[in-house]
Amino acid sequence: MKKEKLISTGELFGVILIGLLSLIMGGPAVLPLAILTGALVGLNVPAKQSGVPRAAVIGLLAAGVVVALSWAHNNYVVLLPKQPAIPAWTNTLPVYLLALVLGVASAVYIAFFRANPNERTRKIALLGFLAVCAVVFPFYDQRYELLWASAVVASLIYMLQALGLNIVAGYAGLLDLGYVAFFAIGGYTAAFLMAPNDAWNGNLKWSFWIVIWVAAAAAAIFGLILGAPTLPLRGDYLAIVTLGFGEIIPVIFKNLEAVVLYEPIGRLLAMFRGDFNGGTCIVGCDKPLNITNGTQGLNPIEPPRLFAFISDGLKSLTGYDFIFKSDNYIPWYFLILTMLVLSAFFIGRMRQSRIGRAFVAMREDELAASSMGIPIVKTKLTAFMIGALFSGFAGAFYASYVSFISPDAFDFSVSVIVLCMVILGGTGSITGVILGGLIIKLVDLLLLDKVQGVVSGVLQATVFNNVQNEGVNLFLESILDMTQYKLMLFGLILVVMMLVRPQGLVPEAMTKTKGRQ
Amino acid sequence: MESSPLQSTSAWQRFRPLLLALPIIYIVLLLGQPAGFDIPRIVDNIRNDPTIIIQQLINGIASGAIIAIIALGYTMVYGIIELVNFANGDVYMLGAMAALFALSPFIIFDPNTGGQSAPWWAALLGFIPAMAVGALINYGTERIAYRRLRNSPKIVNLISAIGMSFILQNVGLQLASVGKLAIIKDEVPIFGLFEVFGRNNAAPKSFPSVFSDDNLIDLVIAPPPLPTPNIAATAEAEATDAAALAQPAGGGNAPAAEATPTLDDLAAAEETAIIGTLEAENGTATPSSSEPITAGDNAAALEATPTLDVEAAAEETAIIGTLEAENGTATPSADEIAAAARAEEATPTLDAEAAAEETAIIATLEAEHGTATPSSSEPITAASGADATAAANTAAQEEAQALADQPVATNVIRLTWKNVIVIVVALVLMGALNWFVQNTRLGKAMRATAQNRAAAQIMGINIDNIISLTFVIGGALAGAAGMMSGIYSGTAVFTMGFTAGLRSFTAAVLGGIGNIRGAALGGILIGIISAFSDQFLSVRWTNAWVFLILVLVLVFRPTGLLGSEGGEKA
Repeated sequence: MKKEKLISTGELFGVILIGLLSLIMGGPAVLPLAILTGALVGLNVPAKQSGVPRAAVIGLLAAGVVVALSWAHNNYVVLLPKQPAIPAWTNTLPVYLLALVLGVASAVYIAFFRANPNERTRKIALLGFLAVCAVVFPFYDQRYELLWASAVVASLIYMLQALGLNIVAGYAGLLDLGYVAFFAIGGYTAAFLMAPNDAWNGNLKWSFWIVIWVAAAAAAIFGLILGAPTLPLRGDYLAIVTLGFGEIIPVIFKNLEAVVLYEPIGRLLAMFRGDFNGGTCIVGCDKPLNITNGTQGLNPIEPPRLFAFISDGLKSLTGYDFIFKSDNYIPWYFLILTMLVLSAFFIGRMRQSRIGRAFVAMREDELAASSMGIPIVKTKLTAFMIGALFSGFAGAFYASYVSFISPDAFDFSVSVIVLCMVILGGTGSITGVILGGLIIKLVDLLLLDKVQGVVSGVLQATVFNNVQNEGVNLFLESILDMTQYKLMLFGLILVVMMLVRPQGLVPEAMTKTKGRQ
Repeated sequence: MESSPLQSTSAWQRFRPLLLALPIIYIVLLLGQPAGFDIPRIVDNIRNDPTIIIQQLINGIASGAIIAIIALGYTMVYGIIELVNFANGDVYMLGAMAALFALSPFIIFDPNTGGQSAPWWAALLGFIPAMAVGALINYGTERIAYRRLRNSPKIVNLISAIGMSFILQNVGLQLASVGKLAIIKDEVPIFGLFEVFGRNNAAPKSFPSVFSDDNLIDLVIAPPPLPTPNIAATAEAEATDAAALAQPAGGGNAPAAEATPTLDDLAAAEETAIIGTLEAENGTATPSSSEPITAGDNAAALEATPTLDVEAAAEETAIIGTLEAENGTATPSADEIAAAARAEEATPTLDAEAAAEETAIIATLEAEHGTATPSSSEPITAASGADATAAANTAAQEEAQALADQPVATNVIRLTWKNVIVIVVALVLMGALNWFVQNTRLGKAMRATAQNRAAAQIMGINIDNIISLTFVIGGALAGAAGMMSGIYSGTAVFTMGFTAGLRSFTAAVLGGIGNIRGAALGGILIGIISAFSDQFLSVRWTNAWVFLILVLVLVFRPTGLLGSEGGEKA
């Protein structure tokens, strides 16, 4: 029998990573990190009954690492200059013990149910675990000042987009580098219907629950319109054309702020008569029509409203406010979470359906698919439409959530970030895409800031206090500013994944062994 | 009508394209208007000043030369390994940064003008480090990010290239941190070289001016004498002139110009004309777009019904800013005046009884290293301001007088050393490349590899070396383009690679990707199209028009104008 190592390289790497996270985060993050660690351990042990005690031991060790390093954060790292204070209760023995218990418990729970031979039970148990974590998270976040909610909501918005891109780029194999266009269309459609706008003299204030469907439909229609010219293209040419569209759409939104339209033929005729300002004016005659308000953008965009009995009921049930406001993340979180879960469910079912299989067949071999009777044109356009649909949802939610929309939010980097999520997680894999989205956006919004805080604290304590030299200090501060390395982070993810693991962290089940066009 | 089905089909087939095209043309004519595609206005602009065409041709060829040089890198790499080297634009950006750094020891500060300059030979020498840096980066990129993926699907390579592009962009951003070390240049003199990178990483870095702004045409043809501005007399006439100019330029803002004649005898108008800076850097619309918008918005805030009463006192806030048409592909006018016009529209909002003073604050036309065709619009606007002032405000008059002193006699069409140098350098580089590819052994090996990699390998060609060589040449060209853009537009910023890269890729595709001469032709064409779009359509829509060309070419004629040598069919 092969001698088993106590801990594999991957596990060791994971423990080190989680440990670093604990060291950087500390404070109230200790409980979520312990649970996360436990869950990862549970997923890592062999899926059989003997794995359970093993999970308990390793889970205890890993949670111990988390607790020890959180303790180190709470007692030492916070002493560095410029560190945010941690709530005092987190630095107490009961909390550390609770973290250990939760870590071991989640490891054992997951290991136990993974060993269950019944697939249905297995699935329900694991999803139930996730669901409990997801539901408890925002309340814990708000109650115990974890302050992760805004980053998590942003990452959920991006995940919804990544799910949509996954249909186009993952299932159908059509790499879309201008995916941000549909996000912008969804967002602006929502803004047109929910924000004050000069173009139609006032404020439409449609209900969010209707607008979100209209926005998705608008995005889908544009998916069709922008998809149609790309039909004959394949591979990198397709990617570049979609990139072109992705650049054009925000330019349009940026510049539609003084629109005057003349009837063109009459205007041309007038020109030949010598009148260079003739022609019948159709739009914006009295004053130019300001549709998108240029770079200033449109605001305020209405938040969603719940029926009073629902929000009151939820409030009496949970004790937390369920009114959509800018500083209250809980309802936003649950709304986008619901949207994401429903979308993931829908996309998962669609993947198994006739159209989903047609997407994959088309991706694997267009010619063969075509000769098997799959209508290529229709299938491609459907892929573009459905893909754009989810970006439209995300855009409408984003507009309402931020309550402000401007063309700056829709540049190429958004397309690339979403692409990063799909690539990192695994093209064609829903679990992978969600995981990739979570990792990338949380690293981007949460981790880099935290790391930056610690780095600048260390710098302050070591260099700045000793070297009284403005030039050197400013230089170090600037070159070590972690928040400035976002582009490099995304770039590195793309390059490294392509070199090392092009199929992603959680590869799509059916293409594990095979490269693809 | 009874006709044979065969006949009717053929007639239908004959006319179908036309029938389909007509509504499309109509829609383009209708919806193109907000994007500047308004034929009567364009014709009117050309009719008013036909020399603009020649001017924009010159500007377009010069900026197109830079695009063409970058496009050569794209087309060579695509020709040889069918990879869209997305990072090429960022190599160009880093080349510009390297060029800037190479120039820094030679910068001479002129205390009189506050400007910085460098000798011309420094700029020519600076090509060497810029090209070396570009070559090195491209070589490294190929080794790290592409070589191992050579047998992977093209999409995998493209994604890797996008990743490299982002990495290089970030390098360009963080590299500028060294500018902060310049604070201690008194202690460590060598750090003074970093001064060029400034204190803010993300801000555009200014190049020293290398070549003078003298108009070379003046050396051949004597410039016409400058008309002396007669402020008081020509008041009315020039005001209407300005209106006439503003109206077509404003495009959508026709009613705006009506504000001008309102300046009644009784009314004393205070006209404060503040117009945002139109930093039409090199015709790249990105930086320029924001400010005119702000100005416009300012105006929009004040907007009201133009009750141009006799008694109305108009405080006209027409804000005219510096037209820093740096290297100015964008001849002033268009957006500038549009903003002015909108601002003027705002005026009448003020109360009827108020006495209006008109303070025309008109900014200097800082045609820094600029071909920005002087004269035509700007001075007229100034004069209109001065006109209003003449009645009441002497201070403004003085300002206008001061302004009137500024212009020097010169031909309307400008051709500066910058244009000439950029075009000449581009021609030299293209000629050298053409010679290299056509006449040398290595060039032959490159062509062989592009044609059939496997066969070339069998014939004893070291494929890896040849591909590396291609990347090195492409990178060197991109680096040279960085120096050219430094000479020409005078700025470098870490985001410049993305737009320039896309434009160059468009150029390469337009000419026929894989085809070296096609890339040169495409580059020049894209440059000219951009310059004309800046002038006649709208600076703010130029990018959209260029990308539209990219899309149209890829969709309808993926082999480009000259066809593809690499044999790639989309």
